[in-house]
Amino acid sequence: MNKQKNKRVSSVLSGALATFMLLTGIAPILLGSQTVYAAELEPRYINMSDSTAGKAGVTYGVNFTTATAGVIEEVIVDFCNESGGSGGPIVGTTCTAPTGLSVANGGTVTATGVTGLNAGTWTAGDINGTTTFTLSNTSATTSVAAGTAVSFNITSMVNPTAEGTFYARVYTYAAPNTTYTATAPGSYTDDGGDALSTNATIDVTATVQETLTFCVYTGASCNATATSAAVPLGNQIGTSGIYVIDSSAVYTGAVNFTVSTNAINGGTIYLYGGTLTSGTNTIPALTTAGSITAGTADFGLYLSTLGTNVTASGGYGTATTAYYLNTAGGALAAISGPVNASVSTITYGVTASNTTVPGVYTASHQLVATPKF
Amino acid sequence: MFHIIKVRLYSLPIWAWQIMPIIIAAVLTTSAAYGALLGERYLNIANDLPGASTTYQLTLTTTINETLGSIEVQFCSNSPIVTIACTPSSGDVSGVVLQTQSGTSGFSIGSVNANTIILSRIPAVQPAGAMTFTFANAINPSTQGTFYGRLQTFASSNASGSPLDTGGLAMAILNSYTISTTVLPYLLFCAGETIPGFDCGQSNGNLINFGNLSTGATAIAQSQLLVATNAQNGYTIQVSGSSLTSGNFVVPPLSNASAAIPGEDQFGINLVANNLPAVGSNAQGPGIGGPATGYGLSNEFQFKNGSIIAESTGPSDYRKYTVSYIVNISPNQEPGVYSATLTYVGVGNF
Repeated sequence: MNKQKNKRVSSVLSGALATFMLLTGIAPILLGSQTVYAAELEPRYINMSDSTAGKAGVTYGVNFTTATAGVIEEVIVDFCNESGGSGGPIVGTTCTAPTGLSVANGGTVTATGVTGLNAGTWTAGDINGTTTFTLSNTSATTSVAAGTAVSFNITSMVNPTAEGTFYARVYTYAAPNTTYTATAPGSYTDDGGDALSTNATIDVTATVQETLTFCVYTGASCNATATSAAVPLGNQIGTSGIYVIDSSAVYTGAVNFTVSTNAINGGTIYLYGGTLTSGTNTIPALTTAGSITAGTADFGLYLSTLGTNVTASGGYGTATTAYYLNTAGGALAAISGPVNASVSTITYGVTASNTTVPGVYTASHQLVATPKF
Repeated sequence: MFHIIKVRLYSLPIWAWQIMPIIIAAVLTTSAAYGALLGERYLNIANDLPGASTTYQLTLTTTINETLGSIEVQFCSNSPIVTIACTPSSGDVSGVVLQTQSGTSGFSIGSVNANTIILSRIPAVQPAGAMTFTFANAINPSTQGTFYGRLQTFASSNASGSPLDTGGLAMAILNSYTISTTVLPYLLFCAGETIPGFDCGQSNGNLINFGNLSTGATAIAQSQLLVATNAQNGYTIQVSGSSLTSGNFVVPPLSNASAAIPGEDQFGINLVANNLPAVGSNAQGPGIGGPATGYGLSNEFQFKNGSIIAESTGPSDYRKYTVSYIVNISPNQEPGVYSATLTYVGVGNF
């Protein structure tokens, strides 16, 4: 590599000397130190998986295209700050590592996805107290053509703690450079600089509040202002509002409930309430699900309609063969997830026997909705 | 000696175009000011009537192990979101009692007011998972509708400092509904020569013909009665009428339960099975009740106008009685066509 550089220097000098000799009388060109550069890795870029300042476990995807054909046994990536026009990506200048940056998250340097370089085992390492990354393979003795796209991921990065721009100096070497320093990077084949940036996080907040709408009704639709629904059972006597049952038939009546909720875990609808009672007399509740037979006094209910995402539970069924009432109260239905205006219907059934004591029988039932967010 | 100097400039503006796109991810995060979002959480209300004093069972789930010292539960009528000013719900939890806790331990009610409960303990590590608390004596909001809960957990024991976890709840207060019906007083009663099954609609016959009476043998006949009632105090069946009469001549009725004796003037009935003579049968059916005094002895008969012949003490399902009739005449009984009209009356004693 150094011979190549020297050749270039020589040709430059030769060119300059020849020019001078031909053009006498021309004012001398400024004298100064000469600097010789290897070819630039181009294009080149480094992807950061996360630009949060101070973030650990970040992946830097290093990408470049070789400018010079030759063996590449090592790639060095040195991270530096810029200060007063020096440092930063400028090769050969002092490199001040960004505060907090490390190539060895948790003390381990890792790299994956090496492409474009020779096949084989590439070893990731660090120098300069974990702020300079090295990737080496002494068995990579096959020349890499110029214009070869190379990429690898440094998966063990820790971002600098300060927000702002920092830089990376990327070097390719024909042989591992064990004496690398920022000011004396040694004989590299190609190089290039990249600028990176850590940013403040962008906080985005959007809140969707927990919701529940629950309504019980007997009319055509839910009326939130209704004081209480009523379910009469039996045949009305004229227009008296008195509904009568006897042993000759099974009498039914229905009540609806509507539920809307965004509870991601669904929920449970509970039913509380006892059997039809008149003073000390009752019409027995069906405590085992079954049919109601005219003349055998029984009282129960089933879910005759199930709304979206609603299923019967707690022993309650969905057919006339499954009248049931848990007089101790308990689950009636399960909601499997978020629902919007899911309408279900409870159908009550009752019959009297010849010996059912006369009277007005009532039962007060409550539904309780418990959504699980 | 001079050299042509080639200088590579590294200043940013020039390098900018040489830098291929650098992917800088804008980090989108939810604000950490409210802690992590609680996992599954819900409040089960035992009685959701407006204004009811009831039990609240609260379940909340933390998602990571953390040092936990207090849990704040706040009830609001307007929103479950902690950043929005809370309008206290019209309920009152100032009198709640912590009954049970599971999935954790050591909590007691640190402080409480009408719409806020703070559970406190000495801070300790709480493994990720569900915790459940049961509170008694919580008073529901006074009106039907939805109200909300706000949950926050803290490392401190007094709900101070930044919350560890946050989550909302929504609950509903709902009026109960009434199921109602009426059972009318019920009495089924019919009489007939025969009543198939327990169906009054099938009863038939209302004329009993004893034929020619003889001093040598007891004339017999039978009819049936069916009764059912939901009268709490049961039923009574009465018979009224006179004995067999022909003009001014009467076959004397048996005034006391007596055996049938051919050759003596007798008219009587009973409601049981007999073998002397063989007539009648015992009461049948799923109902209750039986023959009244004087009418329930086998082979003994009587007839008293207006007397109760069968009764029950409470509601009865179908009960079918067979009335056995006997007639005996003496040699002195005047000839003629004797007849009697008996009326049976069933009464439900409500």
